[in-house]
Amino acid sequence: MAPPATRTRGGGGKQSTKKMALSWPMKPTMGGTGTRAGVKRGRDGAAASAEPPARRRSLRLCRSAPGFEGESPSPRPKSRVKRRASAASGAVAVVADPEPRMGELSLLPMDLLLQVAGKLPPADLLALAATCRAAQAILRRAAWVRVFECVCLSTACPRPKNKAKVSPASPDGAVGPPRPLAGAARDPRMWYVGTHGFSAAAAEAEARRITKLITHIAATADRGTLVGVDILAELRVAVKVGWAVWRGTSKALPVNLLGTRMNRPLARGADTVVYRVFPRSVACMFWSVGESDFAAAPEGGSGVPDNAALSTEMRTVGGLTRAAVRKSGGIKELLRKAEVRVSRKQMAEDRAAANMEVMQRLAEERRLGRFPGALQVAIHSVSTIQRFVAGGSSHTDFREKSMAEALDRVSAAYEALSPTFLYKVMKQDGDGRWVSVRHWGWYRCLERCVNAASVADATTMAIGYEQSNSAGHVYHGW
Amino acid sequence: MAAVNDDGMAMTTNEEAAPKRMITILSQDKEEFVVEKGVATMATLIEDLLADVSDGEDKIPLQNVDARILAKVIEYMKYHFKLIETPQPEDEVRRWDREFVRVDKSTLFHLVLAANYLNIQSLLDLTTQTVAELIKGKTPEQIRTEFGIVNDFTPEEEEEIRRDNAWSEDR
Repeated sequence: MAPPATRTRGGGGKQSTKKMALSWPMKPTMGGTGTRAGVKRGRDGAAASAEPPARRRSLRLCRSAPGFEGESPSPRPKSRVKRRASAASGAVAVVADPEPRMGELSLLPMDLLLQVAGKLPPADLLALAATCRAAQAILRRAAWVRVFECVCLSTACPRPKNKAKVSPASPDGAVGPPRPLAGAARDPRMWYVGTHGFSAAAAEAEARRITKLITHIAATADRGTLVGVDILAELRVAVKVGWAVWRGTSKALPVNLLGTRMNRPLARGADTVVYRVFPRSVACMFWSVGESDFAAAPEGGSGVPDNAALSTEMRTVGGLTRAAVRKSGGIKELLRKAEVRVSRKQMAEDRAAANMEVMQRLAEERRLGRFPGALQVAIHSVSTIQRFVAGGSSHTDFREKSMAEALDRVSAAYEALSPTFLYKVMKQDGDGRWVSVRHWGWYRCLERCVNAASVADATTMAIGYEQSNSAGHVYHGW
Repeated sequence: MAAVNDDGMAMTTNEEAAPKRMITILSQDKEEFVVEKGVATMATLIEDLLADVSDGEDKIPLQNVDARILAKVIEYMKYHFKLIETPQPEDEVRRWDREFVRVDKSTLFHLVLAANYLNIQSLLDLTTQTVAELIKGKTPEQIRTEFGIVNDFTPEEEEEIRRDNAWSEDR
């Protein structure tokens, strides 16, 4: 068939994106030399290359696929892209990949391969990535993003209110890792998510809070420099925890968080979160986060734990609200000028009440097999990240140990502290970051803990520090 | 020329009474497929192309889809187009889809490519899902065997990867 004459619309180079040659979207990044676009000439005769429509569409899909580093998926242009059928005849010849590196899978260009990858559970995706170097290069990142997504999904599972009602069985009665729902053939993201009677909206809100919190942590980390952090190692830990959470789920509710709700925040923050900050403690936080521990970020804030979720002691300093303290020129100034307005007895009572509250919470966490408590872990994790990622921080030299080892010890140190003492050594700074109050005491203790020979040693050191410093007040001084 | 109507049968009196616009799709190897316009426009690419050709031009050349694959794609489009008029139970459709993609791997991959090229989202989803099903539940070694992938890792690298992915074996 003789191709009809080419008719162009618009003019010059600008129109080029609306025109396309009908060529295979062949292997753009899999080592192939496939055709990416045909060449057409506009009215002015200038060569105008363009992506073929399917190619552009699939790229858009690909952007929403796990692991794709690019902009968020944008809606399909409303205006119809018109082109001539004759464009097909102007397509550049397809050049096959001369050296397939992924066997028969090399037939698929990377964007399609990623689409396939997006339909795989994380474990299978990792298995695929482990088949050869090419797969590893292409899919490893996508695999871990997928893993992260799944971990996020698992966090959409608030802890059960009543353990007695919780059965370890999945909807089909089988115990085990998450399974796709019936609709998963069409949408592989339709994994069941145990909600323990919580509504989809509640699960979504939970996931959003966590995403916000992690994004905040990532932003905090961005201020520093990550050195020697084995993020993948941390991810592995996170995933284990994620699976553990999943195994414990009971009632199921199809919540397509990734597709309809989580995709956008993940697209913005996931790369940063996954590949820059994902310490073990965050995974633990996932593990133990509850429906009330993290409220939505106030006033569009950071998503750090809401004041309401913290104890009285954390909300007040010497009987003053934090706002009042800030208004008075900061804690240090306040303490210097006014000593402490509230009697020590009152403070002790407050602290005891706070301690009781926290202890009750921890007891409940322990009863549910979830320890440490969300609050404690949140404090621990954020402060840990702070120390590990803060550029120029001299408090912790973890280079001799892996991040996992160091976190083990730091985690043990924090967990060894009583809640009351924990609050003594932590504070939230003006930027909403949790930092240790006693730089030269607690930080040095932590440094020793990190470098301890064993986790047990770290625990002993932390307990020793608390015993030697628990007498008297540890004010929120700098 | 493989000129067929939507049901693969002779045109009925009813169809003759209300003739539907037929489109000729030309495969890479110059084989012509005549299909109803409604069927053809299930492929967004064809729909876009048709919008831009004059009424007299009803031949759509598709350079990158050969006759064998195009026939399969048209079969899919016909079935799913017919579902619009006469809906079938979901299980039935799913069963048909499963049968449709019960093909050898080469055909399957070419269907993926064709679906992507022709911009048929449902077919793309179906075929990529099928590829994913081929991978699911397999170890790296089994996947290599399935797709003829050559393991180019050194033993040390492989051991490291195995260690890294140990968690996933605990599924």
